[in-house]
Amino acid sequence: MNIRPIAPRLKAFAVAWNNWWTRESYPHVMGIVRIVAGGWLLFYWAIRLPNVTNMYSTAGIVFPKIPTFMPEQFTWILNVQEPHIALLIFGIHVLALFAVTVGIFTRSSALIACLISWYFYYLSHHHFHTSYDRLYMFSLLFLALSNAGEVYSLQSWAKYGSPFRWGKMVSIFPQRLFGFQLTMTYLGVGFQKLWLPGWQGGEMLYYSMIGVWGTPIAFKITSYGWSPLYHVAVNMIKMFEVLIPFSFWIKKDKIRWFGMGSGLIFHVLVDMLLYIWWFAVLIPAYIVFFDPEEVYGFIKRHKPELALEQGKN
Amino acid sequence: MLIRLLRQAFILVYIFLTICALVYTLSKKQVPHVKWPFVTHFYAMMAPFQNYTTDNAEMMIYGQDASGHWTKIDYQTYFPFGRGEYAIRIRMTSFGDKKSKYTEIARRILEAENANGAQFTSVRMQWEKWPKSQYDFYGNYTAEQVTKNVMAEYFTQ
Repeated sequence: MNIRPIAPRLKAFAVAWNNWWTRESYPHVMGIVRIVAGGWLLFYWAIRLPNVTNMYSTAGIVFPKIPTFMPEQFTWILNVQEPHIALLIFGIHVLALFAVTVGIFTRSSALIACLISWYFYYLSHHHFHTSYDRLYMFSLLFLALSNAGEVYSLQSWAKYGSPFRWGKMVSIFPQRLFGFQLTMTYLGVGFQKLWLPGWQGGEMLYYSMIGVWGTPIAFKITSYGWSPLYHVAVNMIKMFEVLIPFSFWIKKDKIRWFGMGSGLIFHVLVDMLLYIWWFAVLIPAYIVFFDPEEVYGFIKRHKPELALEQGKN
Repeated sequence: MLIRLLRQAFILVYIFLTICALVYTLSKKQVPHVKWPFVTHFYAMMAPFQNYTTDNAEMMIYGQDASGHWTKIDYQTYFPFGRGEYAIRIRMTSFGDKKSKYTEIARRILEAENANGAQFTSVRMQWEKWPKSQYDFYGNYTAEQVTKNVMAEYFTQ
């Protein structure tokens, strides 16, 4: 058996791996992701402002959860604080998210927001234990690892004289992490539904629409009574969720556009029928499935004034 | 060089923990020797609604005065969330001993209500359950259809 070709093959794999995960490229995708994710999180947290003391301080009924991995000498971090301290921490959090959104001190702001999100999670949000709270935390971690403030930011304005001007390539690494996580989220959710007993019929959809999450539109639809169409809808959801994570990566024959269009319809329908609006941010986040070179080329062709290169334009 | 190494290590650890989460998602079995606290957030990012119920349920809070009259207390004063979020949060699934948490909630609400002018002698927390209606969340919330399960009651000392 000839094993000599293994070495060059491994080398080629390493080069391809490195190119896919960590090559240097245009900063525009992450600039857009930063604005979308930062703006969304700013909104998500800011609407809690009237209830901060109730949710996170001794003025409310708060039961923190100490993570099992937390050393005992650090558990004081999760002590419930007085209202003014809670407001101060929340204020820093909102400021950090604002800084992320406008792109100033992006990395440190995203890291601070990530850590405070973690704190609020174990202080209060653990009761709700949702996917999106975790996705939001990891998004901030990815932003903290990125150079997302390189363009479309106050940082680029201060550095290059225009928020639309950029000066250096950035690592694609955080963008790939976003893409990888979104893919795995859809994949896990979709595949699990294939055999979860509750997901084997339309009853799941019907009873969800008339449960705690049902919107007035959902109740309007269910008022017409049960229909086998709910079976069809549930099977379509499963099919969609299993196929969509693959479709995002297939450039051929515009398959990814079909996947993203399906994702758009799916999330809009979820938002209309159930009070579960937190995943709507995934729609604009689909931009992470486009290579930075593609997005840069698109902007350059259609709106060159939004992609000014330092020293060239 | 160090940054490149750290980056590759981060990628590999992230992929590994995601695979552990996917294995649990697909088989409900944990990868041996990998502690669950490391995987839990990765699993939670790929976990759907698990099941449905044919009943609606809500944790109702009542205050009783000296004459024995029960008054319903609006949960939103103490738990400022939508109906769905409240329904999940109040299950207290993070804790093994739910009874002590519910008793503590009842105590805090009793004190707050009485500080605001109410004259309750006790506050009770009870799950109420009723069959779902196709027309409205409370469509079947009638005396005949509601079942009640008292979780905790706190009395003035």
